[in-house]
Amino acid sequence: MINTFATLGAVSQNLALGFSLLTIILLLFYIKNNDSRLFISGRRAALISAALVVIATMVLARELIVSNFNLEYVAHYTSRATPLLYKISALWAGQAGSLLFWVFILAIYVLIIIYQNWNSNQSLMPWVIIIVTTIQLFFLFMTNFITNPFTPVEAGIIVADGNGLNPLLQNVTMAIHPPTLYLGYVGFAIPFAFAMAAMITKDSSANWIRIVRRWTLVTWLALGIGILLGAWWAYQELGWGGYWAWDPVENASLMPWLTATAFIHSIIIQEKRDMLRVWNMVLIIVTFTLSIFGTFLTRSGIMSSVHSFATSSLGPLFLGFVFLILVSSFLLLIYRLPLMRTTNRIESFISRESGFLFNNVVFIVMCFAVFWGTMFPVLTEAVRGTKITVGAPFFNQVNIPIGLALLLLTGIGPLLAWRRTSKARLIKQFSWPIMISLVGLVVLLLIGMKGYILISFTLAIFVTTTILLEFVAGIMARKRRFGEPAPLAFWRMLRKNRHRYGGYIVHFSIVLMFVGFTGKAFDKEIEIAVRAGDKFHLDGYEFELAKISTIERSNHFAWIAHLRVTEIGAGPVTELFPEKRIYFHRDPDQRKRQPHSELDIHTTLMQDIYSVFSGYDSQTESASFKIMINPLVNWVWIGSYIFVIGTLFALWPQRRKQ
Amino acid sequence: MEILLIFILFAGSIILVAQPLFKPVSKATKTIVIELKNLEDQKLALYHQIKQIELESELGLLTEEDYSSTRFRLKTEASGLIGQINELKKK
Amino acid sequence: MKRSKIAVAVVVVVALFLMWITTGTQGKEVPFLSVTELQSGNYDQSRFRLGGNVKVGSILISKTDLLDMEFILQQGEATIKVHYNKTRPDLFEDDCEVIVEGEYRKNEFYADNLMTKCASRYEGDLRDENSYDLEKI
Repeated sequence: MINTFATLGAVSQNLALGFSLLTIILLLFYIKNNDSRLFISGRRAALISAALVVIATMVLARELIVSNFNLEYVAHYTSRATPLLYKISALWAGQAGSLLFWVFILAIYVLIIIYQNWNSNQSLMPWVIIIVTTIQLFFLFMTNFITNPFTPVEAGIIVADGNGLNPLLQNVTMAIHPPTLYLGYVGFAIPFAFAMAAMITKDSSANWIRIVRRWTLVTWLALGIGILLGAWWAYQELGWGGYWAWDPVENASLMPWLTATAFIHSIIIQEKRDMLRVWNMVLIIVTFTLSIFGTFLTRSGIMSSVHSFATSSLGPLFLGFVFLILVSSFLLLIYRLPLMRTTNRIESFISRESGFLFNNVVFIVMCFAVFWGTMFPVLTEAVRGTKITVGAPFFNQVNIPIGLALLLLTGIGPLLAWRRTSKARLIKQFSWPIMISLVGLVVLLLIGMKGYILISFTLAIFVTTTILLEFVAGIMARKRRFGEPAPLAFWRMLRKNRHRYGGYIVHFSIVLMFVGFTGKAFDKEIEIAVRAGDKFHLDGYEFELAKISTIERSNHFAWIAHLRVTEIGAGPVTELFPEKRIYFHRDPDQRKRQPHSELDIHTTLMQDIYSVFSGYDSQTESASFKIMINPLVNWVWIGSYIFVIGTLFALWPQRRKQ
Repeated sequence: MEILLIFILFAGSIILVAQPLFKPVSKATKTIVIELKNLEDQKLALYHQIKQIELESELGLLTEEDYSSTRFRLKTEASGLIGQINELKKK
Repeated sequence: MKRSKIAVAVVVVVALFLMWITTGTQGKEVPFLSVTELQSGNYDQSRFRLGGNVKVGSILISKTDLLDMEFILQQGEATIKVHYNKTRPDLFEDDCEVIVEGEYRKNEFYADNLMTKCASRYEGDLRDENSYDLEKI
């Protein structure tokens, strides 16, 4: 038997399903009869079903916190010893809980959009609510009938203590990585719903884009932060020395981010020039579908991946839902094509419009490359009968030139004028950046760079110069016009054009990340087994294992290696203390003890010295290490911070003039 | 106890949803307010666009003729809106 | 006129990239085989992936080099000896589900990539009392 609270949660979850259904019925009647009372009633039903989802989630969180092991889910993912933060994060650690958490975020979003549009967009809102509620209905169906987080443990079993959360996941980054990803995944439901509502109500204007623009940017930011947190966690915790493994689940989060990036660029053209109406529809449909698909990849176990859960019955349902969304929204789009025609055309190759167009093409191509590599095993198994995988080498080889093309466009696009760019302007805009990059190119050649690395660094210089010159041009324009001193002009320019300059900051952050990615080409690595007192060399550094000490902490036992790092010919650099830990070392059940390598990194702007204490044999006193020198990695993280700052800057509300 | 709780949850929700259906149809004043707000929003969006093209022409991203024609179009649209707003305010 | 030019350019760019992507898999393909397929078959590729479980008690770590290791990979009835001398994942242990990637020589497998899928401890059947701390009354 489960307690009152758990019953309340389970019932709220049931009722939420019922009220979602009621919402859809009431609003469809409203659309048919146009009786505003039906709309008010339907909207209330939507609010109530969202509130019920929130209640159910809160209840599950409470049960996790108080360790109610009568619930199977609680017993599976927490134990009494699990720290509070990770008891809460267990909410999204398992399949059933994470699906409920998905609906929870959607419910919060629904509450927000209903509140925001209480008095506005009255023609779109009924359909928007119907569409988001349908999505909610699908997920509630699964948490109610397929994988219910409120399932009690089997009758007759009393659970003394739960399993606890995998220590690898007991990390603050890992606790917030899934929810940020989900904020992103789920968030695309809202622009999707507005897009569909616009098409259904035959509103072919850019109105829906104005409504969802900020929303899309927030969602895009959340997904981006989620991806970067995952990368950072992998680098800091997993101990293979990289941050991106092209694992199916990583790819699943990257794909919607790529199409969403294309979307936030191409809606600018629709707003300014009323072009690409159909294309924007396609992009938002694809982005939302990929978000659902991403949830599916994570939660269904179709791909063997470090992230995914055991195989489950969710697969066909999810695929069915993805298929349904694709078919119905594209049918709608085809049906509405006559409405979407516009008279504006791209007039010249060398125009802002065509810059955006090619940027979109490259983003989509990159998304396709990721998709192709991710689905390759599935495709080959269907066609040839053998599962054939293509690993990181494929993704790197294919994506590097595509990424560089994107970087080039980042530099060129923003400088082009709308409709057409005159020769004089081209020369004026590009002569400096090209000259400076040429100088950079020569210097890079002289220090022995070649191939993609050379191209990448040269493009980084080019793009940085164009961005700087754009800032300078903006300041000059204000100085000329208002006679303001440069610092004031700079500040006012930023404040008055948040979108434009926020965008440039994000572009610059991408340049920094590319510098970091390029550093990957220079990685050095050694895997070695040594004893205390031994020395070994890597890339001009000498490593000495001074000693190995031991320590017992609350939930684990650790061997700590003392590694002295000296730069040959220059002197000591640092000491590193990677650890080999055994979690639950006191547990009588051997199988529950879990080894874990806690790595140590010495970070500078130029490079990381990365050390993993991978194994220890207490009999022979032999210890094994993996040491890496990873140049420029830090720039990926610095770029990440600037990415967030730039996006927030663009998002910050513009002060309204009275 | 539990059954009571569930009943309250269920009945309360149902009443909240059903309640508007038994009210008389509301009057039109509210829709005018909504309409006004929509128009004001659109007006602000247009002002914002005008500001943006000003900057773009300053930066040379828009030719002089494009700038003046777009500016003219936006201004006409805005004054149309202002007219509509004033109409509504009179009511 | 202009419009069709740009359309052509887009089509050409997309086509080039698509060719680049679809041909990009050549030389990077690693078939996922079963042990019996590998032992009986004749394959063009030099690299393979195998999936299976680590046979209980089969892990053998060299006394002189802590990294040097061999174990028996089990796939139902079929077994194969696997050599691996790089850093092992923390979750690698007896009976754990692994995927290895590497070369096949003289009936033995030389892996240079080892992935574990050892989530079972945290993601399993609750009623399996061996792996879960349950007290049945």
